[in-house]
Amino acid sequence: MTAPSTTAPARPQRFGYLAELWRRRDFAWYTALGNLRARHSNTFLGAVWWVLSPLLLGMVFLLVFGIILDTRKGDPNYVGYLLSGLFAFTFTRTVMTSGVQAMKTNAKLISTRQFPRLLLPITAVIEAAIGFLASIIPFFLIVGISSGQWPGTYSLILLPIFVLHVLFNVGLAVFFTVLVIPVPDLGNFMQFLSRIWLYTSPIIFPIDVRLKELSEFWFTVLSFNPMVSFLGVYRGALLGRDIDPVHWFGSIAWGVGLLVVGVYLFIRNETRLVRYLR
Amino acid sequence: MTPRPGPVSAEETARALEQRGERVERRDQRADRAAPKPAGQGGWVRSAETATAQPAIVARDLKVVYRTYGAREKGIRNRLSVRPAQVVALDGVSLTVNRGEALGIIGANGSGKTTLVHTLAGTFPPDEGTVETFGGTPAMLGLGVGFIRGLSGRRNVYLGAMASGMRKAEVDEVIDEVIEFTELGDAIDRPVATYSSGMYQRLAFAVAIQSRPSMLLLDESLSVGDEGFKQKSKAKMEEILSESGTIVLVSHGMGRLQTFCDRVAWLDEGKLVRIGDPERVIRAYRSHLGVIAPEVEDDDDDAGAGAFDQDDADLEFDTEI
Repeated sequence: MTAPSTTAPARPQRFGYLAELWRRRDFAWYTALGNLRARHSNTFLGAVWWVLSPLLLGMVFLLVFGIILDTRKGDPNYVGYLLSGLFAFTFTRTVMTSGVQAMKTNAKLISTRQFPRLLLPITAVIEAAIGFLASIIPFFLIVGISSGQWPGTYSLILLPIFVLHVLFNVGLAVFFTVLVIPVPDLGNFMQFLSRIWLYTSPIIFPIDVRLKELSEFWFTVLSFNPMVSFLGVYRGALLGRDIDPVHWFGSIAWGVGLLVVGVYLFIRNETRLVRYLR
Repeated sequence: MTPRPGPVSAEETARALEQRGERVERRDQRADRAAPKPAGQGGWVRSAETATAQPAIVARDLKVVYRTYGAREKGIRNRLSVRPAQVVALDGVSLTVNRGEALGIIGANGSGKTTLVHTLAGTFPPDEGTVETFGGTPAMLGLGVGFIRGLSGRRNVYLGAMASGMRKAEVDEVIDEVIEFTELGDAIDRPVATYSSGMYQRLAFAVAIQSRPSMLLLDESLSVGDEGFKQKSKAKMEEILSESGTIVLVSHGMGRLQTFCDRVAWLDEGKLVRIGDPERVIRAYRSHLGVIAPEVEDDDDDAGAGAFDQDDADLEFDTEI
């Protein structure tokens, strides 16, 4: 008789788990591509929407905040400032909900196949990451045309910060999956949370300029916002601005830290999470 | 929960049958071994049945409880309770499925059949109890196995195979064979959203079978599809059994179960009532439902291969789409 290959309640070994995850990377990659392909497959413009959606989103924000509310305040390249923050933040905002969504829409797959469930939120992050990269193209076009600033060697910084951002987003997506699947009510808070996050991040305006009156304490609290670090580095990569070394440090700490915490929590609770999905 | 047809419990029905001289196997040590099947019946006799049984799936004391925040009991205290309402889907089910054996699962709607198959497949962890599988990973096939509907059948074959752990390059090697098995022709490159339910099932079956699983668990899926494909999928399942694989089959098609399965398990409200010889268990189940009096002989075990698909009329999609 062969040894038992599966004992249902047993938790998978942590590093064996990660090895299995890596072994199935094709699945994550092709599922993400498949979802992307399917998403706009029944629209007239199809893949054009990948570039068009962020473009329209940027124009709305530009209209409301740049022109109507006049938050420009003397920034010579406000268009670049706003869009770089907005597109990077949209990547993060998307994964806050899409990781959970990936688990829910694939409940069928979860019920019929054995595989590391961590693949599903990762798939959602891959999808959002491709969407973000697609929005970089219209970004450089708009900024180049409106301000004459075209990408230079500083744009190479985009590579490391993008990797850190992806790590952070995987951690975030997975972290929220662990929270929201057992308590669905938390899912309803996501849209409010993401809105608060948007307005407390240096996206529409630099926080330090806008919130001068804020006490030292709250200012310190706000500087722990991971988006402050990520956007600080992104603006160096996308607009060639000076990067505060603290922002590099913050990006690395948040990216690696949240990834480790999120993945650890997910693997620990995977069995429990699956129970909530059936 | 489905209302019961009569005031009697399943246990009582079975007990009454026993008193009348019907031999219905109890859920005990005896039932955990494969019951030898009378030769000649249904025409599906395999040598493995009488050989010493080798377990493929061993389930012990499975308990599964669904929790939901909706549909609370009446009363202000219940409605304000933070604790979710609980539905016990499986309640202390123990059984063993042997190699080379086909086990059928019957029971009323909501009796826990689908939950049991999912738990045996190892895809849903039970709240209590254990499932051990020996010699292979079970492949699970239910209605609608999670295709991306906007993608073509071909791409979904890739995704399905990769979900079972294959690399892209490995799928490349078998893709033509799988597509040929589906007999979908040019439709394979159309979005799955445009498929009929029969075409959908062809695809699902082909994907599930492509890894040549030694354990196949099916949830109400075989009866969809046309005549030709049904025969084809049945032949494929026979092949698995003859290679001493294992099949667990949920169905409401009693005739199909009786001819195809070596044993049948009857679930009622999450409990295993009886397991054993298909004819006897099905008769006990039917008399419990009040469909056929226990004295009346089954009228569908003479049909042989044809019986496999004769129960399409009472096929239901209570599981999922």
